[in-house]
This record gives sequence, C-alpha cells and structure tokens, in this order.
Amino acid sequence: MHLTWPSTEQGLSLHRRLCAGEATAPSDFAVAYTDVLGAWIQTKNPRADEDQCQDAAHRAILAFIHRPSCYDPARGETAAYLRMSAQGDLINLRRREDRHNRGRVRLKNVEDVVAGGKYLETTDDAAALSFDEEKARRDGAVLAAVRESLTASDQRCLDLMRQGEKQTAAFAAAAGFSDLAPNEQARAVKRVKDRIKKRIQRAGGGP
Amino acid sequence: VSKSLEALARRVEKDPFFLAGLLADYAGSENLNDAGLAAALRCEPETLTAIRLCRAPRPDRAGFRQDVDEIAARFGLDADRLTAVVRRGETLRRLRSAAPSGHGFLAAARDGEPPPESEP
Repeated sequence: MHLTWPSTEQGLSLHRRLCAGEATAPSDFAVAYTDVLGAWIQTKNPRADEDQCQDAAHRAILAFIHRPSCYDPARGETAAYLRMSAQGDLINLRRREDRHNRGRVRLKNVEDVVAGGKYLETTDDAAALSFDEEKARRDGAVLAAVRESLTASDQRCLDLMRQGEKQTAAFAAAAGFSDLAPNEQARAVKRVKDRIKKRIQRAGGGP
Repeated sequence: VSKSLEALARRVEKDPFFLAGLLADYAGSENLNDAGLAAALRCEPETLTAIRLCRAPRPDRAGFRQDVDEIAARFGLDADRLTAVVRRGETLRRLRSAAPSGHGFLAAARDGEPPPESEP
C-alpha cells in the first residue's frame, strides 16, 4: 500500500508520461496515488461511507489518467489537484445519494426490491421513475435494515446491486471470490445475490 | 496489492482504454482465474493488478509492438505471450461487437487463434 504522497518530482514525471501516452504510465500513476488518495479522503470525511470515498478516489484517478492535459503543473501539485478532484466527486456522489433517498428511485438499481419482484429494463436516468415519498422512505428503510443485518462482503454486494452492477467479476471481487474459476464465481455470486434477495423479501421489500 | 487498487483494476475491465478488459476476455475464453491468467502470462498473480491498469496497446502495428514491449519489459513478461493474450482479447472484443447476442463467440475465438503454449 502506498500511503505516502509521491514527491513533486514524481508527480511531474508521471504527468509527463501520461501526456506522452506511455503504456505503463496509467498503471504507475494508479499505484502511486490510489491508496494515499483513498486514505486522505476518508480521513477528511470521517462520516462518509467507505465505499463512496473509494469510489470518489477512483473517479479522480481515472479522470486524471484519461485527461492528463486538464491538469496544469504551473497551478499546483498533482496531489493537490487530485485531492480537490476527489473531494468534488465525493460531494457529487453524496448529492446523488441524497436525491435518491428523497424519493427518486431507479427500479434497475434496486432490482426487484421496490418493484415487488418485477424488473424493469431501463438504464436511462431520464427514465427513472418517481415514487411517492412514503413508498421511497419505506423501501429505503427496508434496505437499510437489511443492510445492517448483512456481513461486510454481503453489504458490498447489496451496494453493487443497488448501483445496477451486472458484472459477475465485480460481485466476485466484492465478495472475495476473485480466486475462483469463472464458472464457480458465477455460482457463488448467484448464491450471495439469492441470499440477499431472500433477506429483503423477508423484511417486506419483495413479493 | 491493496483492495482499493484491485477494485480499481476490476472497475476498468469495462473501459477499453485499459489492458484489463482484454486480459479479462482472454481469461474468460480459457476459463482461467487469476492464478491461471498469471500462469499464462508467466507472472505472479499479485502483478496482475498493475498489468491490468496499463493502457491497452495501440491498434497500429508499430504502436502495438512498442506498447507490448514496454509493458513486457516493465513487468518482466514474455512479449510474445503477452501479444498472444492481447490479440485473443482483441478478437473477442471484435466478435462481441459484431455479434451482440454473444452466442458462440467464445468458441469462435478459440477456433480462430491458438492460445500461447504452456511451455516455452
């Protein structure tokens, strides 16, 4: 784990390599900054959700890798730029979650919880369906109660389900099944998802 | 390798900018887990995370060669084996975009391109 910020010179070198398009530069940049940025933003926002902090750090790292020219070294250090970017991403993520909790619920994201077992194939934000405040609060309360009762790895999987994640690999990583063969991963992930759905149903969130 | 860095490497599997997606497609076509993929590349499984976070090689011949050589040299990989893995991943990606239903494209890719040999 890299929990020390790279020096100014290292930051400038990595930025130069990213701008030059070196194939290994994204990897070296990510290795140098991901952990230290994630630790910083969690410390800076102690009450923020750990997964949201990681997500914000990842977004900042990926944005920098994709668009290194947006950063002007003359205006400050790479680390300062990343911290500002990650903090902004975290604020946006929290605002999005606040909006979500206030009543706009995407059926896709909570799968069959809110829909009572039905699944709508919509991915467009514009197609998000509004529900009345009471129903949204009830569904939110069910999910929160179920989440509390889950293990940490199952909580991560529930969060992925709510985010609309469909990749088995993502669930496998969250559940610690990455070392399994892909077909075993798929079976193990299905078991976890079924277990979570059953908990939600029992808590009153499903059919 | 930290969990956060590993999660980042998994996250970029869907981003064609990174090498991760090509490696994932290859591993999927051979039914390989991380240990199997590392064995195919002849590297330690712990190294896979950093390799996944490299940029995918450019499509033009000279750029491809230069990028593969750079990645291979950086992580002590055999450039020919890395080439074979990346080429398979690219083939799968092309087949997938050509056949949205996905039916049979893994078998087609396996038929079309032999995997790297297990021994030198």
